[in-house]
Order: sequence, then structure tokens, then C-alpha cells
Amino acid sequence: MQQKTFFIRAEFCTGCEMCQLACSLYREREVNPARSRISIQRVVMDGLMFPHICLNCKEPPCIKACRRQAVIKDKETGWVTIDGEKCNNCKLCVSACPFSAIIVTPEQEVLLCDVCGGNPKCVEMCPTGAIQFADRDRGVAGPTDKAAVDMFKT
Amino acid sequence: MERLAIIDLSTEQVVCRDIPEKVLRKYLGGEGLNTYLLYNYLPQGVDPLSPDNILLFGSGLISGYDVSSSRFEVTAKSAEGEGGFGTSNSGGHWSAELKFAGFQHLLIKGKAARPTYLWIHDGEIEFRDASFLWGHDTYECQELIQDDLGDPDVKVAMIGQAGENLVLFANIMHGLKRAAGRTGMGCIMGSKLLKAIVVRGKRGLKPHNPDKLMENYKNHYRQITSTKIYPVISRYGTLTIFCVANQSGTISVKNNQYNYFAEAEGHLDDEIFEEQYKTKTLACFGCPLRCSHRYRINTGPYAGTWGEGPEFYMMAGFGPAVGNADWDCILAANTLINRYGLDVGSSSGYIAWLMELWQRGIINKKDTGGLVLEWGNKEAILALIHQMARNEGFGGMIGQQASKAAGIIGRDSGRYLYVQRGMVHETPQNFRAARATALGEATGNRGSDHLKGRCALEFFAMPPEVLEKIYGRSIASDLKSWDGKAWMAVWTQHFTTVADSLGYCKFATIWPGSTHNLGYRQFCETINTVKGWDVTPAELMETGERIWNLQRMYIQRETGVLRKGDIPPSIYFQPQPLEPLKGEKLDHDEYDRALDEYYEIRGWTREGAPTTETLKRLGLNKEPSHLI
Repeated sequence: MQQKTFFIRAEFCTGCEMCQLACSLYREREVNPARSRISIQRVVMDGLMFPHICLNCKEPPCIKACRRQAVIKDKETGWVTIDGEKCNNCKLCVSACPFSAIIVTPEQEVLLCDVCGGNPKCVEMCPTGAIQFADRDRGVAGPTDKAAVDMFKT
Repeated sequence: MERLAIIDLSTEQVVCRDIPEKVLRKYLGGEGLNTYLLYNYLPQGVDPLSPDNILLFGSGLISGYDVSSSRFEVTAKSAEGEGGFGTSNSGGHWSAELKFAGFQHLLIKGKAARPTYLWIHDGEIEFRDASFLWGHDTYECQELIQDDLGDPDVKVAMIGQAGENLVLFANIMHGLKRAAGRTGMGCIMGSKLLKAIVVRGKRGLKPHNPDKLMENYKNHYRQITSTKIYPVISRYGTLTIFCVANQSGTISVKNNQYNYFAEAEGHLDDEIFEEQYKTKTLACFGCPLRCSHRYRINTGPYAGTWGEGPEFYMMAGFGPAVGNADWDCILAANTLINRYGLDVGSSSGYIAWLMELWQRGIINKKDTGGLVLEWGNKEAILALIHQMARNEGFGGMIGQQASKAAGIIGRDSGRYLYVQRGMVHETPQNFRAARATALGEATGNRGSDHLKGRCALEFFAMPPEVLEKIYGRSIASDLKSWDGKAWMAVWTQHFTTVADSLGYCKFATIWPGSTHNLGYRQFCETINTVKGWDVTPAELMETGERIWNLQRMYIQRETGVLRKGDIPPSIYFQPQPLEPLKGEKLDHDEYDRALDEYYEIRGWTREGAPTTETLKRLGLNKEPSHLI
């Protein structure tokens, strides 16, 4: 089966945070960017906006880092999720993630994107296509770092 | 529960109050509740720059909850003009962040003993020393505050040097370009020695019905992004208005002497900006319209200058209004204005006026301290901006005196300064041919206010059926006709007031002439989902009317200027010299009749004061009611 994951084009991100609004509203039933499973790193003075979200790595370092086997990668879909029952919010996975994609809430709870069951709300609400959800084969997953390099070229 | 923080800078004490639901429903938030608080808390007859004046910050009622609802309102007794109703609206990320930090409204009184900034985070308010920020422009100020607090995600509303130096038309700035302009709110903030208000919040907003809100959110997003205006606004922002306004003869050229600027053709337009200067597009909180454009000037004398903006006002105010057709100069001026925290409309208005005085030989090098104020002289334009903000030389005098400068210069110079309610007329605007807009702007409570009075649908010659469907009454399609225009102005003023009270950006509503955008029905959907109320469009319309009338009561109490303040500047009554719309002007008798009709619709006396019955009908007869 074809696996789907996120593609990020940071140069298109306007920093509007609509993705965060939709995510927290859908998953947490409140409006709160601090509890959204996608985060935007805002470098306002430089006009740079970087969306950070789980890219469902082929070999996720977070899984290796977790001592409680709480991070799981689904073999069929390829999606990486955290089992809330097993997780004790130790944040080892947060340190391991190369994409700053794992969220720590103000209450020190660890949150990870679960792609809304295959229909991510953040993608639906992104007005510029800065974040897209598509077949993994269409590109290299995890281009956030590359986008940053491209942007600094100007 | 929405909360108000009453912050006393003199004693460094804070009192928090819950806003009772019945007050919230009557005044919503943002501009509405600010008006209520101003009317209730401001002691009568105080000097605007004294510690007794109060400065209000208010997030919109649904700010943070819906698409394009990112606006906050700043209100105080006006510094610019006759000391009337001072209010201004700004977008950005500050408004939603204030809500996440646990407050909807801030009431600031007193005066700090030393430069201070407020650090508001998760329900707490700290007074912090701002001595190290004093004297820094807005760009530097933000970076210094981020360093001071060790948090790159703080949102800052601040003043630049213009506010510190008490320039009467100083702005409160947020981010790199977002500004609460006109009526000198930055000057009031400077008079309190308050440099900045920094917010950061991680508290969630809990809507009454989250599932329904998600649905509304999606629907409103789809609605906004499927309008015809969306691709244009998201690409060019308000710059797109420029060519249309110029080519239809509704622009001010050389301080309103002409109404079309031929030199602009091929030099000043939105596409040139996009191709040559734009580097990045950014957006306010939750807004798909993304109208903030970063730019950089790569060649010429201003090479290396960068900034964010510019809006139509910048382009027209520092373009045709001062006889300049050079994009580089406009952008360089834009960066300066934003860094200093000056108001675009007012500063370009005064510069245009001074240039006309120079043209007529009323002032010369002796008055200006050596500046040559010929039309389009770029160095002089930029020098005046520097002087105004730093309170130095000739420009400094203008900044400190505003419209009173005419009295200081003397020599009949006041004849060419177009003022309303003591404030300089918004420069780029020249709407004498458009009747509803002329009336709506002139009767705006802060005076000469396109944000309340611009009836955009008037310009598109809409079929009468469409107009009747929107406005509920018959209105002439022709912009030069007066038929139904008084009602159009009243309707628009109520609508914009409601939008500002809720926190919606007016560009996401039907206000800019986009009939399929958000309107009262969508506002009600969101309010009811968020608050669990049963608000109807009729109730919202009445709320708009209530807020408008309370503002009028405030003006009556503080200035006593009613009908006399509702007349457009004198230039509107003189014919336009150029095609298109050559010879158009307002007629005194016709305007008076329209004003009578406008007062009658509002239930006001012929002098323009709300009658007792009107106040009773709107539940205003017991104001000030001191319910918060």
C-alpha cells in the first residue's frame, strides 16, 4: 500500500497559524496553539516561518529513543504515533526528533501528530499549500531543513 | 469568562474583573466594550496627555476563534484634534495572544515613574523597566524585548520614537507594519511613559460548541477564499486599490489640488511592487488573506532598505499626494514611518500641505530651516519624517502642533490645511464625487474616517436589486446620486463598528465591496457557537447602533462639537479639475439635506444629538452605568 506523509514548503508559510487553530480545535476541543500537534517556528524579524510536524520517518529516531515502547510506527500506513497509556512524558523522543516535531505542552505533556486518521485538518486549512499530505514516493520526506537552506540563499 | 485588567501605572497595581455577560452581549468587545469603558471610566474634561486619560486595549469578542478575526482596538481620549473620540484598530498576532494570556481588555491609567513595559503572560501582569528600550525604534525594540524575556514568541505592541517624543499623530505599532493609527494613540502611550505591552499566552480558549466551531471555521475559510477579491488581496494587498482609484479620479494629488496623477502611470502600481520589491508574504493570526508583504530595495540610493507593508495609504499618501512617483522613495518612507511609529495618513497630509504652502510662496527656506519643499522632493519628504519623529526643526514643530501649526505659520496657511474635527483629513482620500462615502466618512466619530465610512459598493454601479438585498432599502446605483445614500452610510457605520467589536478584519467581510464575503449571518454563527447565545443579525445591527450612539454621547460630553464637526473639509465643496469625474463637488445645500436625513434615520436632533427616545430604545439612557 502507498504510504502518505507530510511535505512542508516553508517558503510558502505565512505564519497565519490556521493549521494550529484547526489542530487544537479538532484534537483538543479548544483553541490553543500551545496544544496543537503542529508548531510554527516564527522568526519574525527575518520573515521566516517554519512549520514543524511529524514527517513519519522511515526509521524514526524517536522510536529508538523511547524506553517504554510508547512510540509506534504502523507497518501498513507508516504513521508514527504515541501510545498515551505507555508514555510517561519523559521527553526522550522530543530530544531525539531531528525535526522538532514532537510537542511539549505548557503542562509538560508530550503530543505527537496522528494525521487525524488520514485526513489532516491542518492541510485542509492551509491557504498556501505550505503543508501537504501526499504519497511518500512523491518526494523526500522531511524537507523542512532543506527549505531553510533554500530560503537563506536569497 | 472574559476578563478586564485595570492597570494603574502610577501605583503599579493591577485589579482584574470579570466582564459580566449582559455587558458583553450589549457591547461585544473590541471597539464596543472599549467605548463603554471609556465612557464609564474617563473623568470628564481631562487633558488628553495628562495621567488622568485612560488607554484601553481590547481584543475582539471572537478574536482568536474564527478565520480573519485578529483585530484589537486601542481607545483613549484623542491626542490629535479637538480631544474627542480617539480609537484605532490593528491586526497582527497580538489580539489572539492577549486572549491566550487570559484577558480580553486592558484599561491603563496613571503615568509610570520611569519608562516601563508591561509583560503579560498566562494571567499575570508584570511592570518592567524599559529604560534600555527608550529611544529605540520599533524594530529594535522588539528584538531587545525578545532578548530581555528570553522568548522569541512574545507579541509586542509598542511605540517608536514618535510616541516617546509625544508627536500628536504617533501610532501604536505591532510587528513590523501593523499599526493602530490616527488620533494619536501612540502619543497617549508615550505620555504615560509606557513603551510596550508584551503578551504571551498558553491558555486555551474554550468555545461553547467546539464541533460546530470547527464546521464554521471551515465554512468561513472556504467562503473567504472563494471570493473574487481573495486572489487579488492575497497577492497585492490593498495596493491593488491604487490604480483603480487613480484612474477613476478619486485620489488626492498635490494636497487635493488635482484628482488624477498621470506621472504614476507605469511607475506606481501593484505589479511593479510585486516584481521588483516583494520578498515574502505574511499573514495576521488565522487569516488566509495574507496581505503583509515584506520588501527590499535592491538598487538606487535606498538600496538595502527593507520592511513590511506598504498599504494603499502609504502609496497614495507618499505618492500623488506629495507629487512623488518613485516607488523607492515611498518604500523608504514606509520603513521610516513604521520604525518611528508615525501615522501615514496624518504625516503625509501635513507634508502635502507644507508643499502646497511652498508652491504658493507662503513659506520659504527661512521657515523650513533650509528644506526645499518642492513637489516630489524625496530628500525633503524623508527629512520631514525624521524631524517629525525626533522633534527637531521645522518638522518637529508640525509633529508637536499638528493642525495648530497653521496658527503658528499664519499667513492664511490654514486655508490649504484640510481638517475635520481638528484632525488633518486623510490625505489620499478624495471622495467628493461619492456621496455615501463622503457623508459616511465625515460623520465618523473620530472624524474623516474611511474605515467607518467607506461605502465600497457605491463605486461598482451595482444593480438596485442587489443593493436593496444587502442594505434592505432602495439605494441609487449612481455614485453621484444622493438617493438612499444616508441610509447606506448609516448601515456601513453600524456594520464596521460590529466588525471592529468582534475583531474581524474588514477585508474578510463585505465591507470592501465583496458581496459574497462574511456578513452579519456569519458573525452570528460564530458568536452563537463560541458563546452559546442566540444572537440574530437584527440584534447585531442594533448593537452597532448602540455603540455608535454611545460614541456620539461621548463626543457630546467631551467636545460639544456635533453638527459642525460632521462637515467634510472645505476642498470637498470645490469642483475637481481633471477627468474622470471632472467638475464633481459636494453642494452645501444638498449636503445639509443629506445630513438632515442622516440624523433623522439615526433618531437624532437637527443639531446631531441623540434624542432621549433614541437612547431609551438602545438602552443607553442610564449611561454611565458602571457595571464593570
